[in-house]
Amino acid sequence: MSSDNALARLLERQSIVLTAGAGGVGKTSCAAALAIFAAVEYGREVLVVTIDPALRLADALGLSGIGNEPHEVDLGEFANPKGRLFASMVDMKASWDEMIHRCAPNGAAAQRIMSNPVYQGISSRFVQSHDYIAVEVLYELYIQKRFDLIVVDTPPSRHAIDFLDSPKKMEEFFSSRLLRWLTLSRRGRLFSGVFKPFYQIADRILGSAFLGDLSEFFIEFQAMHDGFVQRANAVTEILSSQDSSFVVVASAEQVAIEEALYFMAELYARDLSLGAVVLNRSLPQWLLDFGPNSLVNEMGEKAPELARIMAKQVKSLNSPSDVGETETFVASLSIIERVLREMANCYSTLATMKEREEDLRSRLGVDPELVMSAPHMQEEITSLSTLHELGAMLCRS
Amino acid sequence: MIANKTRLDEVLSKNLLFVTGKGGVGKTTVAAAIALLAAESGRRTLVCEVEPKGDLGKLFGLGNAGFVAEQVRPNLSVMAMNTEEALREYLKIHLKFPVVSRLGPLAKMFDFVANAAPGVREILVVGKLCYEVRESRYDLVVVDSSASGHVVSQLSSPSGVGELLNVGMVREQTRWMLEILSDPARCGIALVSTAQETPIQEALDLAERISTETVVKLCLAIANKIMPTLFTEMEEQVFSQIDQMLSSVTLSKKNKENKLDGFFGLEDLVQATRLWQNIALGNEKQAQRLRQRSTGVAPYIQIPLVSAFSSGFGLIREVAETIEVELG
Repeated sequence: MSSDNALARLLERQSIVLTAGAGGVGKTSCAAALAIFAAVEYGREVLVVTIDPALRLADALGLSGIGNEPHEVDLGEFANPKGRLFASMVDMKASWDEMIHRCAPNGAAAQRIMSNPVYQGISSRFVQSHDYIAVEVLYELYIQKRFDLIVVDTPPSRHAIDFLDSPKKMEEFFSSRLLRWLTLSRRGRLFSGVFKPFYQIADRILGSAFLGDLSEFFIEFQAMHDGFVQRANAVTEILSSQDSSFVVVASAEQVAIEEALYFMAELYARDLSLGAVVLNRSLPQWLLDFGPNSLVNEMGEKAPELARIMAKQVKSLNSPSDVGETETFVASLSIIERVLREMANCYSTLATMKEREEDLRSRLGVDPELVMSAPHMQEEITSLSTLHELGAMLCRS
Repeated sequence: MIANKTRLDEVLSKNLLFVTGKGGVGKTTVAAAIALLAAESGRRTLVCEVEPKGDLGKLFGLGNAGFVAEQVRPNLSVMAMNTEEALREYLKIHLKFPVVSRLGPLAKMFDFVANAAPGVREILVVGKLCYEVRESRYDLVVVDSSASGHVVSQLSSPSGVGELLNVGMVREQTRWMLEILSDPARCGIALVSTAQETPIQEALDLAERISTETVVKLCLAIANKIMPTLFTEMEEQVFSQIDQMLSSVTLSKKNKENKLDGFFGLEDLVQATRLWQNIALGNEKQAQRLRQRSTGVAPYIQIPLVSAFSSGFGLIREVAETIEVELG
């Protein structure tokens, strides 16, 4: 297919594609659309990993409940699917538990960690931990080599970049001086001069029972240090390898574009590969192609004349037998005029919006070849075929 | 004089208002607009950006808002949350902790503990906001809150931290915070969403979580960036007839001279109008879901898409005017 673009080439060749962007720009739909398209059109074994899909999207993918185990999506509705599609939805709590089991020195230690109140807080409530676990899940799937292509929908977070930093943060966390201090015995802590004031303050603010839970937790946790750090490094390596590309998704709005710009700068700084930028919910190009519409400005004066012509025109179009049926204008000339004026407003408003959109697009400052547009979908995405349609628009624009 | 409070007064008379919703729905603008209305009604108002991306400051023409509130208009100050600064202030107030220069390593430790102990960071944020209310430095604190999930952890942090920390000062202080948060006359949540399926669904889920997991009550639901439908039923009929007529005229163009030839570009207008109506109908369908959810719970209003045409203070002003009319 000669018309295939940069995004299509990614789907044909790449091993990991990660979608990233501000919340609410349609990131998850894009991830799903790209995955389906790669499976149906490029004959690949594809897995799409979602974090928190909207209910109807989850339904479309046949994801009835969360579960880390990939399950196959039935592509029977497509005439000739060339590959296969699998989907999974990350279960945070289960992923943390799995990871503890993998990294803990023995079963008893794993049990102790999992029953600590601090751990329960981290794995279920603490939002930022999602970033790390998403990376973990990706690593686990990647080393299994079960799929040609893994499409990952990155978790919504304050800055999409948190996701990239999470392995490094996890490593810093383990090697920090403070962790070493916290895991000293209480006595040791009290007498370690440097930390004495901190301990006293922490004790007063947080209470010693909590500090007790906390240091117990970290003592156990530290036994997993090597496993953790090793995995964190491996993940960072995969993300920066030739096998991974990022697709930045933005909508044609200032905030979303700024977030995208920020993310692209961070990708660049980390030497990570930007595969494509998707400008979602963009208005159609014809709003600009038609150029300035003189009728828009003249509608004020021309509306009455136009309304009269229209009223007549309708009559002349009707065959005599139709006369008297609803095919004639039922409205008075003034209503027709009002509608005509409203139409002119509509055109000029949309054209202005499209111009603003183009301004924002030019601010992206990347090779135009890498920027794909997806339209406002009239229907929300509720089926595999609409997702495939979105994929086609993205890959063949 | 009629003593009846308008629905707007109802909102502005609170002491603490959290504006929340999915990322990108316009929380910051709505928070700024509500704060502006409050300030102009004579209330001493603080608007605080919890996740300081700098958007709030920019709207008011400031470079970047800082932790120290800065007055931008009469009665209106702006600040950005910063957990390290909040900790510093907390220590100063509650512990009379003098060694400010030593805060570097302490902050690092705090960061570390906050990462490990769910709710500690959140409680500092909510604590600072409640503190401003308790000290009555402002009549109203409007919070440009964190995106969906975070706000629930923030608002449930006083009770959550209470469970985790059995003793300690933080535990002590959750009590008065809960008092403010749980009083619907003093504190409320304004939920903002754009009218697309995913943000609306998230808003509905959030409304549910707010009511089950936090003590704070929903007091306003806002469908933002709406492209309104244009026509009455009658006008809609006229439009579809114009639409049909133009397609038949195009078909018969070859045969006879067309009186509409002088109106070059009319088809484009039809096409644009059809596009608008399609989006508008989708908006309406989704906004309806939010309206239904808020019925009997909190007032519901719609704000049209003005962000496509204005920015900065002009945008705040326009949104404020809409809110004033809708809630009047």
